[in-house]
Parts: sequence; C-alpha cells; structure tokens
Amino acid sequence: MIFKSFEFKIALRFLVKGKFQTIFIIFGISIGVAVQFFLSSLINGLQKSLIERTVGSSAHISILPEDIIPKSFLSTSEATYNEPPYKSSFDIINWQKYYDYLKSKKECKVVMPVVKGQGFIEKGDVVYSTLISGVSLDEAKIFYKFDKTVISGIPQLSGDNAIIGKDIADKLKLKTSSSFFLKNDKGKSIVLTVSGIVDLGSSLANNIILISIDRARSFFDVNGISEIDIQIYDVFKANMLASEYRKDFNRIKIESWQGKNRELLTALRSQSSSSYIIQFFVILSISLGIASVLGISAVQKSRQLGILKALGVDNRSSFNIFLIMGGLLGITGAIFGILLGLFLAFGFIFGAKGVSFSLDLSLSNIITPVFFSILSSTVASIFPANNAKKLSPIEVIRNG
Amino acid sequence: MDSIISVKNIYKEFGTEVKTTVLKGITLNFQRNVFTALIGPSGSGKTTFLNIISLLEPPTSGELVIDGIDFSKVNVNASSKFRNENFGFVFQFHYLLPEFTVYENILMPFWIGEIKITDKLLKNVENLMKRMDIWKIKDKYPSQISGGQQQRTSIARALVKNPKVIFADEPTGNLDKETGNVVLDIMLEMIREFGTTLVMVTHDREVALRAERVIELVDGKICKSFLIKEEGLERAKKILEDRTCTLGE
Repeated sequence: MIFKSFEFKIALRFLVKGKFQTIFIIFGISIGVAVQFFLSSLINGLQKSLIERTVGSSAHISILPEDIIPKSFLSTSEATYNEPPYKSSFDIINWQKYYDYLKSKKECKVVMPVVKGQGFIEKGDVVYSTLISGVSLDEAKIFYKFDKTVISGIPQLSGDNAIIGKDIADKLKLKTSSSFFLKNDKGKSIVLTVSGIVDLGSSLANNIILISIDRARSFFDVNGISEIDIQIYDVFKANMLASEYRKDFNRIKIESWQGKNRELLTALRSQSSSSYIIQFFVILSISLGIASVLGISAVQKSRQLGILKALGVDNRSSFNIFLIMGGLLGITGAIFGILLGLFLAFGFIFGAKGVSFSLDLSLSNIITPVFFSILSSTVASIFPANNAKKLSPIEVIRNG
Repeated sequence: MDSIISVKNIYKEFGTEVKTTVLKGITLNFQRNVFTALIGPSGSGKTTFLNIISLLEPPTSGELVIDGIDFSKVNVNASSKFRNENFGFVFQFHYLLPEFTVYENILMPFWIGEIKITDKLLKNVENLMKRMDIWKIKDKYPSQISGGQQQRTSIARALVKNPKVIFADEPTGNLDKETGNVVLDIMLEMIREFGTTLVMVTHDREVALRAERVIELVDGKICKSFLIKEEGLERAKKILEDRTCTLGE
C-alpha cells in the first residue's frame, strides 16, 4: 500500500483537532466545488437546450442534390446564354443507394428521405404559405420525436392525413380532424385532414406540414426525392461524418448542421471558454487556499512532526501525512460542495420559474469538479508536505 | 562488558561561514544495560552528543556503531526505522502529541512501527500504565494532565516497546524537585526491571550520582569518566565537585 495506516490516523487527527482551520478550508473548497458544479450544470444545460432547439427536430446531416455548374459556353455547344450561371437540380433520382448506405451506418439514428416543397394552405378566406415535407411515418416518428412533440391527435400520414406544426394550427385555428386545402405553386390542390399537431420548439420548425412521401411526390410531380435528412447520435460529429460521406459519394451535396450554424457554435464555444476560465480560477483559488492553510498547518505542526520523526517516522511518511491531509480536505470539500451545488441547482430549478432550459445534472458534471477538487487539494499539499519531509527532528527538539 | 554504542573520534561542527566545533573527537563505549549519566556545563556539547548517538543528527566526522551496525554513513530513513525499533526517548519537555490521548501517545511507537496491536500487547501496555500510575488518565489529552503525569506518559511511551536504549535529556529538568524525584524513581525502577540501557543527559549532580557510570563533557571533550560502584558514592561526589579534568586534556 502507498500509505500506511498510522499516516491516515495522524493526518485525520491533525485535521479533526484543527477544527476551525479545517472547517474553514472545507467550506472554501465546498464553495469552489459548488460553484464549479453549478456553473457547468447551468452552462451545459443551456448549451444542450440550445442545441436541442437548433437541431433537435432538424437534420444533422442533409444529402442534397448536386449543384449544377454549367460548363463554359466557349467549350460546349450545348450551353445557352439563357442558362443561369448557377442552378440546383430539384431532386435525387437514384436516392435508394444513398439511403441503403446510410441506413447501414451505426452512427445514424434516423435516415429519412424527404420530398420538400412550398405550398399554400387555404381555410376559408385565409391563405397561408408553408413548407411541405413528404416523409414516411416510421422515420418521421423518430426524426420529429412524436413521443414528445405531439400535442394533439394521433399522427397518421396515410390517405388524406397530414401532421401539422403548432404555428399553422394556431394561425388557421386547425384542430385534429379539421380539413384544409393545400395548393402548390402550379395551382394543384388537394384536401387534407389534420391527424396530429406537433410542437417542434421554434416557430420556423412549427410552420410545417407533413404528408406521406408518395402523396408529396405526386403533389410536387417529382420522381425522386428532394433530400435525405439524417439525425446522428452525437450531433457534434456531424461535420466529421459529412466529410466522410463526401469521400464515398459524388454528384450530391452533403451539408452538416455545424456548417450551417457557425455563429451558434462560435457562441457556444465562447461560452464554454469563459466557463472554463472561471472554473480554472476557482480551482486555482481553492488550490492556493489549501496550499496556504496546509503551509500554515505544517509550521504549526512542526513540533509534532519533530516528535514523530524522533519516534521513528521517516521522511516519506511525514510527506504522506500532509498529502493525505490535502486529499482528505479535497474529498470532504468535494462531498459538501456537491451537496451545496445540488442545493443551489434545485433552488434554481424550483426558484427560477419561466427559465426555458433545465440544468444538466449529469454524472460527468459531478465527477469533474470532484476530481479536480481532490487533485488540486492533493497537488496543493505537495509544497507543505515537502517542508514536512525536510524538517529535522533535532530542530524541534533543540528549539523546544 | 558488551558495548551497545561505540563512538570513535566523533566531531561535530555547526555553521557554514563561521564554523563552531561542538564535539572535538570523542571516543567512547556505552555498555549494555548500564545507566550512564552525561554531565557537563552548558555548551559542553552533551546534548549534541546524545543527539548523535541516538541518530537524531549525524556527526560531521567519526565512527558510530550501534548494536553492531555502522551508522557513520547511514541514510535518514534507515535511521528512523532503527530509532523506532530500538530506541526510546525522554526529553526535558514531555513532547507528547497534543492531538492524541495519553493512551494513543503511548501506542504511537507501535503504530509507527506498523506492529499488530494484539490483546496481549494491549494488556502489557495497560500493566505498564498502571505501574506508572497513568492508566486512570488514559483518555485524557496531554493538556488536561499535570507536568508529572505528562513526563510519566512520556517515559511510558519510551519504554513501551522495550527498547534496547533509552535516551533521556534532562527528563526531570522541567519538573519541581519532588515530582522530578518521583518520576526519576519510576523511570529507574522500570529501566532496571526491563534491563534497558539508559543514557541520560543531566546537569543535576544528584541525578548523575544515581547512575552507574558518569561521563563529564567539557568544551566538546570527555573530561571525566568513571563508574560509581568502583569509586564509591563519597569519592564520586568529590570527583564531580572537582573542576579539573582527568581525561582528554
């Protein structure tokens, strides 16, 4: 064993007998740990909530039709002056191979072919522009998290059924079983019945109508699909996976949510950095506090250390005693700190009503401050421990 | 006679820029199971000498052999282990650990030596403490007991592991005469019963006369060395009163 049992006995007794000093430093560590825990729970919670709102019900990676860049008219006779310099094709015809490939990937939570287009809802005199997505119900269930997002009805897409976003439902006073007209830009019109209403978080996301993919195909008169929307398990791997897929596919465009939300990511990163800076200084102040308290303790206990050394305690054990003291302070401070942090967190949850995000009380947010508290306490005790190691028993005995 | 500590030409210097030589080539043997009193005026080097032979500080030069082991160049940690296993200490101040009870202070040498605390061992400790009349205060802290009790506790701690040598530096120096005599009586009684070697620094001639051998240091050298049994008590008193050195000049 690294430590001897008497080293623990002595370290513990030194701490217990140094009541106020010990209580103060434990209190100090506890506050540090609590702040660290609370801060990381708050910031992680906020970030998770922001990310969930941003990408929770949207595609993490999208497979889109290739951008067609026309060849120079100088080099080909087929090019015409009327052609725009840049245009996008409308659909992916041979989508099945991409779909099969992506379905086989473990990292993908859901792979959903979508036929998309703009349309107008008519109900009575009201005409409302909306986004229409043709999807399959099984995939949409996972993609749009129907178990959490359905606020009314039972989502169905077969026949005339459609699932509509909350904003449309509110604006057009649509309820489950209500019927409405849907028109496309070419004037084609169909009648749909609301089977379910979903709340997808943002007003943009809630301005959606989901219909079956086959119905969408005939409505928009397309053969293939508009895009394949993918949700993955680890949203932060989107960029990396998108690059990976790009290597495997050509003639299609692959976009990740990270690419489309750079500002948000920069903001999140800045927030994380500032949180880390605060946490670093909290740890630093804890460490300095422990080092100074144990430093004073080493001076205060130098007489005892001298006696112990005369009785046969060697340098290593003298060092260990202070290392253990630091470790014990860290562990105790961490336990009280987490309790205090939980108290603060629950106070925040119950007290701050109207806050639209929840704290992230995950195990990692507990383990990290506990680990750093114990580590910094132990490291901070090295300096006084070294002094204890160097102390000569004879100095104490000679000086009384 | 079998010697337990043997020193040869021991020198001790203090200071770096201005050097002070405290011990100037001491050569001496300490016999096993003998009570030796080290006397001398202040600054004669007697405490320094005691610290060197008890492995609390190293000599500047010279040879030091304890129980057959050469400690002239032994590292600090090995000395610590040896001290714990073979030595007991009684100082002028009790040097008990204030954070521990009387009982825990006495058990401390076992804890440090990582010796298994058995019922038999605890019974022996109890008997020793009862003999020293400190059993009834076993759960008290050093600050809660009298000076005499503190020093008896300190002696019990020194004796508890039945060490080969006990080093005592003015053990009664901080006590009044009456308490000092009681403490000394108990200490000598136990030493004789346990058959322990005792090396005691004292400035008190009366205490020194209770030893079997007296060594006087003056100015870092041995001035006198004699056995009381050989000289007789009256002559021993006269030797101690005489200021001339018979050795080392």
